[in-house]
Amino acid sequence: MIEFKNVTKTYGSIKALDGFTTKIEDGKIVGLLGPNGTGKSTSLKIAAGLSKPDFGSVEINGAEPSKETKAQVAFLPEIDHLYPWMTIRRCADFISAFYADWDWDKYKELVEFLGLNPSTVIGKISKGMRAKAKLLFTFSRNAPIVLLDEPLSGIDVLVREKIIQTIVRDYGKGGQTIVISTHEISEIEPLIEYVIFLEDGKIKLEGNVEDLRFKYKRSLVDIMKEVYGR
Amino acid sequence: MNTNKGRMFARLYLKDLQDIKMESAIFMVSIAIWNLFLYLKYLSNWPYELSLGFSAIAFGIAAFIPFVESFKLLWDEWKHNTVYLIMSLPVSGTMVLLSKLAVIVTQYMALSLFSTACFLLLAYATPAWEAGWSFIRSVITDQSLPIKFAMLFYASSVVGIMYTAALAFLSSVVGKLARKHSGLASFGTFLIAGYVCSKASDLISRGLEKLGVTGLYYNHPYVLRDATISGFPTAPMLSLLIVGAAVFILAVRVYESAVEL
Repeated sequence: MIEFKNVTKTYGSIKALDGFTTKIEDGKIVGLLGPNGTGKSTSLKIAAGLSKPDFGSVEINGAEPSKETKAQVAFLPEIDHLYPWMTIRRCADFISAFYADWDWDKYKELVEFLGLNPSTVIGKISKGMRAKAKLLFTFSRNAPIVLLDEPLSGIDVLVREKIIQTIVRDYGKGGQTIVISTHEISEIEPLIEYVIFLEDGKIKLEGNVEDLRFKYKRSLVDIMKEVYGR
Repeated sequence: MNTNKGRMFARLYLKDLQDIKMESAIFMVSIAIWNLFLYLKYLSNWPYELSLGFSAIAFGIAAFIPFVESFKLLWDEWKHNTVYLIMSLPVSGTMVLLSKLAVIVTQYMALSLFSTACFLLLAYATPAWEAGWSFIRSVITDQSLPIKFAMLFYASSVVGIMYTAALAFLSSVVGKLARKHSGLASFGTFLIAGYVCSKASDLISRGLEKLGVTGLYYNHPYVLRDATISGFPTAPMLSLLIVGAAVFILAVRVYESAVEL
């Protein structure tokens, strides 16, 4: 379980998170939604242990973010964070050394499924292929918690479909917790079970997707438009 | 998957080693060509002392490149956004910075030993070798003194590299705390920390000498015939090691507790 308790984070004069409080239960695919600059990436970075709250706290399965919790979390940032001079295989060798949950069989299956060539140098492939490579390293692990920050950002439609297929491919209901932050809801709407809408670092609306659809009698995309008054 | 600290450290070390491989190779090839050029100049009637003097420039560069690299290794993590990957790994800041320190020392040892080999080859190919050895052997009593002195000097230089790398790490991570002008913040930190550390090192060195640890100079420095090296390690070397370790620990603390993305 990921628990945010009254988390506040500011960057200069900008409040990225403002008393953010929520509990993300195990075994769910959760959508962290909202327009740009609402605190989605900040909350994921804090959960991944890359950033620290100014006030409040975050707990990953009852423990504050640390190197122990990092072993349970697979974090996919929005930006390209892989060594550009490494080949995909070399990068897999590098990352695999740090995680007990790395699964080489899964890696080989995903390489094929995503149409990647292990001998390709990461810095020399297209943005779409890099997005696939990032996903490969994230899902080659059997991490209990997966944090995906804008996994579809700037990716063409065909690659988006492949990414979504990858996310749901090995998702074992009841086991893995996947948190997806995005401002592009239509593609991930069929995936997510729980949704958190953020605005100005605060929760604007949260709940089970089915309950919200039933309550508002409309799709998540339309609920979002109503929530943000657009 | 088998994970242990040794394997994690090895992967971090090899990753950074791979990163500096090309620069180190370019330097080695350049030094080899430079020494070949100096040898050809000697054959065309240059004084061999001049050729050897120019060859010795490589020692300075061999120390300067790892110094620059100790900044670059950390700065590149931010430049390529790979700091996101490094900081999300389940490893301590100590392991991350220690692996980089090990790479810096490896690079220094490789470059300095290569420069020394080229220098000695050049000396061997000129009258300097025979003249130098003949002179040294004629004036000293302890024939192993040049080797001992070279080892003392080399060990001191390795400690010096570790100390400057620790300073560079501290400056880099402090610079990364600044929202603007992080390069300037790093430079300022390096100057201030360098000044404070040199004063601290002097004080510690003097304290160690009072405790009986020998100074840098070999006995009878002005009478080469009876010279001996009176102790190892020397007080300045130890004090530099102590200050360097303190700076390194501080850099790790800042990296772990204050650096955020």
